[in-house]
Order: sequence, then C-alpha cells, then structure tokens
Amino acid sequence: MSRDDLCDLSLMDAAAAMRAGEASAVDVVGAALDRTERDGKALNCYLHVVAEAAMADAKARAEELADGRDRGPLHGIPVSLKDNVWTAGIPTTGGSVSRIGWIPKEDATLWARMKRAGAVLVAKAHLYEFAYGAVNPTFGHATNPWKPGYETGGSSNGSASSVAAGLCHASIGSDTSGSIRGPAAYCGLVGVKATYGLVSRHGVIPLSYTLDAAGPLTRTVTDAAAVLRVIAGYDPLDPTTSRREVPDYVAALEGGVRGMRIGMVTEETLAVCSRDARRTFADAVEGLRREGAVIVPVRIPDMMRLWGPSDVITTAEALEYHRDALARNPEGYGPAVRARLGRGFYMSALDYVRAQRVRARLIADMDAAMEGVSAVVMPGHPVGSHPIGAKFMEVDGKEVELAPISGLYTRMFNLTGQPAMTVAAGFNTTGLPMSMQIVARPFDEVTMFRIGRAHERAGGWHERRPPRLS
Amino acid sequence: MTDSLCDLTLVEVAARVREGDLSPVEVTQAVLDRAARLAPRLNCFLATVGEAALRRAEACARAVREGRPLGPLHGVPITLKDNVATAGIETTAGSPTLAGSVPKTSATVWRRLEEAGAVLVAKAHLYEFAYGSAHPALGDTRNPWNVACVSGGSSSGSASSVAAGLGFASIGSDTGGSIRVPASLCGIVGLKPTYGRVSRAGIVPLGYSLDVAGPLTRSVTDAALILEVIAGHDAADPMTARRTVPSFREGIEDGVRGLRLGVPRRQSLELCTPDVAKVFAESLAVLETEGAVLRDVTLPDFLAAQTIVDVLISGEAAEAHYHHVKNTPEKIGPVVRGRLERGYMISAADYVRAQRARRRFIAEVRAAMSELEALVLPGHPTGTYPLDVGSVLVNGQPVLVHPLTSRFTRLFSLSGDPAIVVPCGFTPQGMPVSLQFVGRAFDERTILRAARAYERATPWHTMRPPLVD
Repeated sequence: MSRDDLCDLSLMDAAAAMRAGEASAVDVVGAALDRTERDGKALNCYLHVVAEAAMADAKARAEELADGRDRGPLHGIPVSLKDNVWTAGIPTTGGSVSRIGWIPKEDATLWARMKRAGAVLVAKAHLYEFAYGAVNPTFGHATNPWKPGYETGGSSNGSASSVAAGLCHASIGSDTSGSIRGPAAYCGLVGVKATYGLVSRHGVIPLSYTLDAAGPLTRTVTDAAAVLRVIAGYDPLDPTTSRREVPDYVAALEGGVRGMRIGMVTEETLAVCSRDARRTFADAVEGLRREGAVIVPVRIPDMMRLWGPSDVITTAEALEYHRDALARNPEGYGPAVRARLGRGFYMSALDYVRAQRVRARLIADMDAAMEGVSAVVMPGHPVGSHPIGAKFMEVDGKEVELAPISGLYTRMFNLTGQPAMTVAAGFNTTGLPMSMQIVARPFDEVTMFRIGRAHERAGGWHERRPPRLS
Repeated sequence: MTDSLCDLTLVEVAARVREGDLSPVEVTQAVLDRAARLAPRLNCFLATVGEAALRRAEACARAVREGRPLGPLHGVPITLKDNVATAGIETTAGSPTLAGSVPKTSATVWRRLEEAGAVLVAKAHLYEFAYGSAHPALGDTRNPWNVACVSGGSSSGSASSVAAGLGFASIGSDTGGSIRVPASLCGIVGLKPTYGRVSRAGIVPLGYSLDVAGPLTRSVTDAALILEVIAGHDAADPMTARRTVPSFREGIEDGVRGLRLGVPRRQSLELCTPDVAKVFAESLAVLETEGAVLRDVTLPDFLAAQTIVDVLISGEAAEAHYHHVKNTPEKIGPVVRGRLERGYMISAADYVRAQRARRRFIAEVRAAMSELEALVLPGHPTGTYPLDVGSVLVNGQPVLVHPLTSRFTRLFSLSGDPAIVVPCGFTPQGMPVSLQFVGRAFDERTILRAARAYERATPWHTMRPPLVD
C-alpha cells in the first residue's frame, strides 16, 4: 500500500492500520495533507488548512500510541470541520467574509471532545455562508469528487467533498434542513443528523436553533457511529442537550436486521424520484430484505407542504441571531444570504407560531405513522447531484425544477427531531452516487446504524471511491 | 342542613355517593340552590345548566341504585371554565365573539370527567379569551372573601365559585398563572400540572406553548383525584406526553419528612408584602416541623420571566385569535383587543428571542432543582385587592396589579413544571394568602404530597368565606 492509499481507508481501517503497526498517525495525517496539497484547490473544499499544527499533533498522537496510550478509534485520525465550528486559535469564518479574521478563544464542545479522543484537525471545510442556502461568492463553489463541475450539495459542501475525495477520514457538518445528509447523498457518503438534543451545538455558529443538528460525514456507517459516540451526550453549555446515556453505537451496529420491521415509504413520497432513484432504492430495500428485515409499506405525512414551516422557522431564528450584525455590516453578507435574512423582517410572531404548530402536529403524525416499525427508509434525494449553478435539470426526459426537491426528503426530520442518516446506495446512469435515508425514532440511533450497516453488507457501495483527480 | 353539603370536599361527596348514603340529586340540588343565592352576587357563572344537571344527577342516582359500575367522580357536581368546549352547551370563552357558539364535540378534559361520572352544573366566568381582563359587558367576578375585591383570573369564576361552595371542583386553564392566581386570592387549591400532562383539545387556546388545564378544588386530594381523571396522552393534542399516568392519590399522605425543598427566600421577600412575608415564614416553619429539609435557592429573575411570557403569549394569542381580530374586532373588549393587536406587531425574531431566553431560564430552574425534590414559595405577592384599584403598594412601591399578580407564577409556566397553590393563612384584613409548591416535570406526586402534608398540619383549608353563611 502506497502512502496515498492510506487516504482511501475508512476511519476504522486507518485506526486498525495504526494499531497493527502498518502506519503511524504521522503517515496517515501526512498522506491526508499531501493529498490536500494536490487536490484541495481543485475541489475548493477547504477554507483554511492547518498543515503545520496537524503534523505536530500527528507526531504527538503517534508517540502516545507507541507508548500504549490509546484514546480510541479517533486517535491520530485526520478530520476536517465545517467552518462554522469554533476552533480555539484557528480562524472560524462561518463561510462569511464578515467573519474573516475572527479567531475563537474556545473550542466548540464537539471539537473539544474529538480532540480529547485524539482526532487531528487538518482543515476547516468550506460551507454555504452561515450554512444558509448559498456560498459566499468570494469563496466560490466546492466541487463533487465524483464528477468535477457537479454540485456537492450544501451547506456542508466542503465536508462532503473532502471526505469523499479522501482528504480526511471524517468531517463534522451541521444540518438544519438537510445540510449534512444532502451533501453526503450527493457525494456517496454516510451523513448523520442525530436526534435533536443528542449532540451539543455549543460553539457551532447557529442557523436555526430549534432545527440545527451537528453530526459526522464519513465513508462508512461504522466510522459515523465511532464519531457520533465521541461527540454525543449532555453538555451543560448547550441547554438543549439531553441527559440520556450515550450507547456504544459501534458495539451495537453489527446486530443485524433479522426480523426487524422496517417501513418503506409509499408511492406518494416517491412520485418525484428519477428512475435511477427508484431503481437504486428498490435495490437497497431488497438488500435489507435479504438481510432478514421485514419490509412493510408506511405512509408518511406529505413532505411537500413542509417547505413553508421549515423556511419560516429557519428565517426567523436566523434573523434573531444575525439581526444586529446585519444592521451594523450589511455588506459583510453575500447577496443571497442577505436577501434570505431580509425576508425575516416581514415575518411576524404569528407566522412563526403557526409554523411551530404545524410542526407539533407533524411530530404526532409521524409518531403515529411509525407505529409498528422500528424505522422508515426512503431515497436520500429524489435525483441526486446536478451541474453547479443549475436551476433545472432534465430527469427522465422531463425538465425538473431543482429548488422544490432539494431538501424535500430531509427537512421533515429536522422538524420532527428524529435521527436520520443517508447512506450511499448505488449510482445513476451518469455515474453519480445515489442514496438511501434511514429514519428512526428519537434517540434510537442504534437502530438507524444497524440498518445502515446491514445495507452496507448487502450492497457494498461504501467500498467505492471516486476516480482520482490527478 | 342540605346547604352544608356544598362545603364537603369532592372526595367526601364521591365516597358518600358511591356508598349510597348521599343522593347525587340531593347534592346537585344543594349546589344549584346555593348557586341561585350566591352566583349573581359573585358573578362567577356565565351559564348555569340546572335542568340538565338534575337530569344527569337522576341518571347517576339510578346507576347507584341499580348497582352499575361507577366512575370515580360519579354524581359529583362540578363546573368548567367557559373556554372548555361542552357538546351541546354554549361555550364563549368569555367573549361576545363566540356568543351563541355551541360545540358539537366536548373538550377531551370534559369528556373524561363526564365519563368518570361528573355532573356539570355551570360554565364559569373568565377573563375574555383567558387574556387579562373580563369583557366589560360581562363584568368582574367577585371574591367570596370580600365581594369588593377581585377573584383574580383568568379562571376567575372557577376560583370564586369553588371557594363559595358552588361545585366541588372546577377546571381552569393556566397560561401564566390563571389557575394559581385566582386559587390563591380565593383561598383554595389550584393545580397547574406539567405542560403536556393534560390535553388542551377543545379548550380555546391562548398561548399554545404555555397553556395547561388543571383543577381548582378545596382540598389537595380533590385536585389529585381530578388530575387522575383528566391526565394522559390525547391524539387530539400533539403536545400531550405519552407517559403513563400514575395514581396521584397514592402516597399523598406520606408527609414531607426528609423531603428537600428549595426556598427562593430573598427573591420572594423582595417581591411580596410584609403581611404575606410573615405568613410565608410561618408556613415554612410548619413544613420544617413536619420534617421537610429547607434549602435556600436562587431562581431566574421572576420579573424577567414575566416579560418573556408576555412576548410569548402575545405572539401565540395573535395566532390563535387571528380570525376574530380580523373579522369581528368590535366584539372583543378594548383591553383584550389591544393586547391581541399588539401581538401582530411582534416580529418572528422577537418571539424567537423570547423562546431562546426561555431555554436558558429552564436550564437555570433545572440546575437550581438538581439536588431538590421541589420548591416552595408564595403563590401571590399581596393577596386580593379592591376591584377598582390599578396598583398596589409592595414594600412602599406602587406596582401595577397586572404584572404584580403573576410574578410568582409565570416562571413555572415558562419552565412547564407542575405547580400547586394551597391556602396558608390570612392577611390582617382577613384575605387568603397562599403557598406554592413547584415540582420537577411530570412529578406532580411530590408536590401533591408536600401540599397535602402542609394542609394536614394546618386549618386553612377548612375555613369558608363569610359570604357562605
């Protein structure tokens, strides 16, 4: 195995290689930095690379491991963080020129926990400005390693691009209406939005505090489980975090799905899907059946009508956070985000309350829909990635508007707070990744991971890597 | 003789009906007779449903005679705040806006009470839409301890009527103190259960993220019994919790020995009159004698909590009553209309700011309670005051009655924690003073037990307003 090949290992395989003495943290981090040097610019996935500090950390982690001090699976693993995650002493821009030059004094709780678990930060990843709908033009677009010129999805665009291209083994993203799961789906990765309240958001620049969730993007389900295990759990600095005990997700995930009742969404939900999305989803479901799952049709609430409530909640909560800075420095914001935030001035408390009441009803309806099943599966995205900047795309011979379907399958679970994960599930006819989304009951990440792992065993899509850029 | 039946507790009446030594008809008639005498003076009922009540009481009597299975409230006359929908009976929420509106289906709480055998005798007066003041055309409810004084609100008629013995329990709703404040001023028990414990389906909403329905009664055990009947998940109210409902009467006599109660002493004394402070100190001494372990605590600022609740209710009430304000604004009284219209000028971002502040406050309450089973503090800072005053002196400072009256209750509307008030003495003017216990979310049992221990050790719950005689 060449040093560059280390980059293509999963996080868990890289961890195993370190313990088998096949590679040290210095090799693994060095390989990640070399590939970053080579491909990072073309992908435009990073806003800030911290090569020197990373090498110093790698050396320290390698020495620890050589001394028998093992911090667990993240020990010596190169990771990136979406640049809305505070990193003490390292610039954190939120993807906005208004924050250029700002350096947090403190780590976000989740990063402090990863650091304690031995993770090595190699870069701060690109993102939509303040995770809100569009990149700041100054920073440009990140690109999809599976097909240059194609969308990574967002807002965790740099996280997805960097992990898919092997520039690191895991990244942390944030997800308000699909910002982890969408990019993971576009880039053939695993993306986890855990239950609302499972992962601390202290030190993650907020977009929408009742919807935001931080979580991992990785190349395998086991990797995601290992990262989530580290970052999950009560944090006194984030009053919305739950005091529940965090299970050992990695230990639980090989449990399989034999006899498990899994709901498959019905035709109403699938109507907007491309033929490729239907085919790959049907294959994924068949795979779960082969693994022993009992698949039953489940009719879930209409997702189309959730754009309104999700948008009103996000806009109002985002404006509440940005209001003062926007008044002080409107030019600091890109035009798209400024316009989006500006809409918040025309939203009344009444509008917001109405949206929250729709949400309360939705939670109850989804709870009822899931009676008798442990989880529900659906495609992760109705069509998958598209050319950067496209507003329309031809799908199965028809012109499809992309805005209404982007986020369609994901935002529901920010509204309900349920755990949801996208996993790679094959390719469309143009070679772009397709995906499946697995949704479980609140705080039942164990079931979500078990299904995800069974899907991997059945399909093997997580073994695929995008073509080398160079 | 018959009139004195009205002063029994709910638990006593239910037991005697069940044992066949009290006729539901007799007790219902006694309540209706006393209501005919006192309700007009108290202005506590918007509608009395005497005939229907007697018909139902007769049916209850038959069921007893025939030995049929009886619900826990079989044959017991009660009232409902008039924002609780009653199938076939006009439900106005105290507003001419809804005059003539007769619901087809009953609110879940009333359906459960009815299934448990309760007999509805009246729809109780309330602040218009439960929001800050009675509609001028309907007039103010009077306090049975002094008819020149306020009953408190918004469950004004519920508190006034139960205190006067016009029904053995009433259901009220509490958004910022609307059960606990009138119960405090009228010298009875008022229980605001945990947010999500009791269905609000069929109750005219005020602030959906704060509204809680609960009982007003003359004893703690009465309140526990009512809660047993009305609590529990309801598909029609998505905010109700799926938790199992315990027996709230079980363990209620266990006392407070060793129970750790937090006392926000400094904050309470700063915000109440010396008369209330004195009664409060005596009440704490009783709890200590009973074996409770008192610990001083500091809670989030009570007055800031009131402001947050104001913003939340404004936004939520504007949403709830949008069509009323848009279509028939002239039917809403000027005070409530003004409040509702103010809600339209609050931006979504302002509302969000209030909800975020709320989360911080909740975290602080949780932290303060981490080593405690419950909190104890006054239920009201002054006790009742004359109907025509706009402000009351507290420690030499004039305070507008509106913010004044909910200063000890709103924090726990924000936190959603269960809270109960019990009578704990009188001011030198002979007006009731109350003690409030606050528990952890979904732990109503502990506060019922503490309130019952206090009640058992003191005579206050046996006192009846002079008007009754």
